[in-house]
Amino acid sequence: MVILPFFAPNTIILNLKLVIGGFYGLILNICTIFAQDPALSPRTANYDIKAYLDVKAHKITAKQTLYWTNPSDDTIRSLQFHLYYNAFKNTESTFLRERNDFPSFLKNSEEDCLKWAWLEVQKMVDEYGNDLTPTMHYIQPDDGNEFDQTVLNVPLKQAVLPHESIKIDMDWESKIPNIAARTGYNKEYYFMAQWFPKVGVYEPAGTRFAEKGQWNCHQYHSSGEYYADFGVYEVAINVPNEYVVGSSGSLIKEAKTAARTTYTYKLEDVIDFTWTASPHFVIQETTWKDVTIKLLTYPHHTHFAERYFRTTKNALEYLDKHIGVYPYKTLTIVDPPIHGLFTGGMEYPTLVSSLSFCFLPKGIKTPETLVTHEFVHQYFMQMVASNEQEEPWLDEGFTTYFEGRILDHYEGEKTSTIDVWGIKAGNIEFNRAEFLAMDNPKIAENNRWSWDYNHGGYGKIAYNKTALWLRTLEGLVGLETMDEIMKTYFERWKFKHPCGQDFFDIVNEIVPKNHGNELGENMDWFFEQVFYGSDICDYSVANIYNKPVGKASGFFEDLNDCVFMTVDSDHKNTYIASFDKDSKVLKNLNKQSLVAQNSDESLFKSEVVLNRLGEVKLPVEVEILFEDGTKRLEKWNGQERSMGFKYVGESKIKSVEIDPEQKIYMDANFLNNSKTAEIQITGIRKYWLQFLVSVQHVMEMLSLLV
Amino acid sequence: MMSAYAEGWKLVLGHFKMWGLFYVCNVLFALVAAYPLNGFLQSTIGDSLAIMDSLPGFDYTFVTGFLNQYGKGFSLILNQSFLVIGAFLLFSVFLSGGILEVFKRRKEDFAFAHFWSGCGKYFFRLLRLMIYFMVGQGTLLFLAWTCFKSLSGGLSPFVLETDRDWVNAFKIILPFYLFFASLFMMLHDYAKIHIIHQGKSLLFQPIFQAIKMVFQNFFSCIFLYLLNFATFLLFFGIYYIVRNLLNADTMTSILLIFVVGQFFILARIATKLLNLGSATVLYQERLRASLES
Repeated sequence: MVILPFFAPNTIILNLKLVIGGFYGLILNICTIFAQDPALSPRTANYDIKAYLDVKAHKITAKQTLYWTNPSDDTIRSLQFHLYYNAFKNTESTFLRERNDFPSFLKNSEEDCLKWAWLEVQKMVDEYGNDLTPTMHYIQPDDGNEFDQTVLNVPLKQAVLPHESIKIDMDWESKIPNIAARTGYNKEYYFMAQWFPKVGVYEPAGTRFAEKGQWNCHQYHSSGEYYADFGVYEVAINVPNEYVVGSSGSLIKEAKTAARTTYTYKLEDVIDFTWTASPHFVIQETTWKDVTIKLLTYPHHTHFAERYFRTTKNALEYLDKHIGVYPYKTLTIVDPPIHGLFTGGMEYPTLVSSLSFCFLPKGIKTPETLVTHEFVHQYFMQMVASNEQEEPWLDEGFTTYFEGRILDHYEGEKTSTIDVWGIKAGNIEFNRAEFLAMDNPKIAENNRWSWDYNHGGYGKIAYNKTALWLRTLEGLVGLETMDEIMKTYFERWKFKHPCGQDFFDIVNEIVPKNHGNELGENMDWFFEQVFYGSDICDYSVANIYNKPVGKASGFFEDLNDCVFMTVDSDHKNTYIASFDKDSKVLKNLNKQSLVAQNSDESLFKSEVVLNRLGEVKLPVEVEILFEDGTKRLEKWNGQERSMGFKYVGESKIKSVEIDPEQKIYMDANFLNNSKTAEIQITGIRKYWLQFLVSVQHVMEMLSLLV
Repeated sequence: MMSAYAEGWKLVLGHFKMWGLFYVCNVLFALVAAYPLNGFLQSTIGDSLAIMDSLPGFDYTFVTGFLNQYGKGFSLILNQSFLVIGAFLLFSVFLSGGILEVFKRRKEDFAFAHFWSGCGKYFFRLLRLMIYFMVGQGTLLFLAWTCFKSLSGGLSPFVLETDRDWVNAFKIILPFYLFFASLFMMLHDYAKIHIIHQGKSLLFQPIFQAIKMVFQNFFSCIFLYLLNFATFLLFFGIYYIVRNLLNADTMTSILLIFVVGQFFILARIATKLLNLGSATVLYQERLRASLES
């Protein structure tokens, strides 16, 4: 608003107009400011996209404006963009070179050639009118593969000064892939993820591992996902009228013509934008507090709504309580059709895709598991925007950890994943078993970049192993402290880009605060083993010994008088011997399985021997149960290879159990964590007889063929 | 048909010794297959609290832990049990000759001499017949599978409009498959009866005669077969209900479940004998009727 001095009559009128106009503008600005939600994030990369979907040619034609703010103290002379679709341009892309299996649609036929994809930026102009198109070029910062075109480097004619902004207009076109890596189309179904030129993240010095300011814009690899900056998205999607659209964000405008409709969506403070379209979608809606939850399914899957809505509300409620508030007003769940199977099970800001199958019984809880997992991703990494490519564990592991907590809490610890025909499995135990079932659980450390798992292990280590050691951490520090850690981590790092060390720092801040030196000065000893190492944790009970306490025997004061000697070893070979005082000869040597004659039958020396079979050293609790019902709870720091606990008392040891509450959830073998003094005949009989009867039934069934 | 069914029961109940022999053979073979597991369990997890903690019901962590740690040893036992099951299958072929010989002579008193002579005499014929019908069943399964694939557009999910296509195709194919598979099994039974009654060495004539007989007496054969199957389902239903009332978490209940299981095995053997016995009676009645006419 500008106010000019009053000098002359016509100037007075002019000034009056300006004053009134300025006053009106001020009111408008004030209204606008109050009407806008306060920014939750730095809003570094803001997009205005107008996209036209050509369903015959399977192409997108778009005009895109990027408003980018330099987040650093550096002068930026170029921008880098992700062009993810170029990963499906030909067999020489880094993505396809790294894949062991060839995507099914990519065959060498003319028809299938139409299914390859690409994204081409046709024109790029900055706000000063500089045409940046001629100097754009592809770069390959990771592997130097000259054929890979998934990173576009754009030298700027006008540099962007520290904390200044630039506006870039671009025209681009893409050929949509026939569903590859969670994006694309099949039949009339479109799922548009990683579909537009997305600017990389410029990390100022001190962000994550950056010692100086740097672009973090990796090529698209076959393992690993995405990393982007926060911003506001306003996206107009033009589709044929019969297409039903689902999207991140809220619908703010709808404009229909005879043949086509343009849906405009807006979403603030997010790192990505995804949408989907099909003529066959059915939309169902529900709400949780002020969040509108929409479900898009094909007609035969509308009955899954109850399961999706119930599970999503459970997840919202749980994370609201244990981590923090979900700040967005919408959440869209997409249940893809069977021919869009590969787009299921993925997360985007305020939009998640799951999977369901008509032919699976209700007790196979795939929809519940997937939608919970993908929803937790709204927190880790949609809001806490870690780098999925460099530190996949930081979102996948955290999400898997909370997926287990949520599902086991609401669906039962033993039934949250599978509960059908007598077979039951909880989510946490299922994920643990998946990791331990690996051919080589030691194949790699947790701290690798996603494409550095050269011989496998990416999924099981980033997801399952991380969740296991997070659960073990929870066991060591307690649930309350763990929740405090997670809440603090979320509050401190939401809408920012943390790295793993930031999480470790919070653990090292909170654990000593709550537990003093009980677990050491800090928890680095823990992360050194479970995160930076690849070893296994395995404690076992080696042996239980129960021996009667023998009285002192032999010669004492009187060399002519010998106290009866007892020689006993184990249960099998116990001797009774007597020493004849006159002949001074050992007589009456009898093998018996009883306690020796002059022993004190009322006292026993008992010992427990524990072993550390794995290389990971963790403090463990040991519960010893005596025959008279008393229990002792011992603590072992878990450092030595073996440890013993000895007792003398009137009762023998009946059983020993390491970690009775399964706090050390990453122990590779729970079966050897306990031992009983006697063989458990009942348990053996159960399984043996079940096996026997099963064999009988199989034989009778096969004899029908005879 | 009902008289054949009733006579079938009389045959079963009147041949306790044979019934008992089959049960004993079943138990012995199963013991050979299963016994090594007893020692294996004792030596691996016999003294772990985990095995007791898993008693109340299916314990996923326990099962996966066991397979993870001791799966290689367990798979050796499994492989051995497959061999034993295979041997039992051959032995069943051997015994089925004896069953049918005894049923052929149903008006005579049971004698083990007849039984064993039937076992030895018809073993190779029945073995060949079994192979022919297994090939037939395999062909039928292949045809059903081919029909399923063509109805559902193939196995690739990427060509389906909806996963309901698979479910719908399965619902269409399954009843047909079950009908024809059951028909094959029925033809197999009647072919065996023909072989025993006519004593032919070559099998194609008995097979064709069995087909002819079944189609000439289609409804009687089908309904008798369904009645026998319903009898099996009845026993299964009783077993299922009783089994679900018990929880295998104490030695008493474990042994009780085992005993209940043995009764069901006995019932299964009885229904197998019933099936052959009633089919033999029906065959003999039809043969007599056709000779008289």
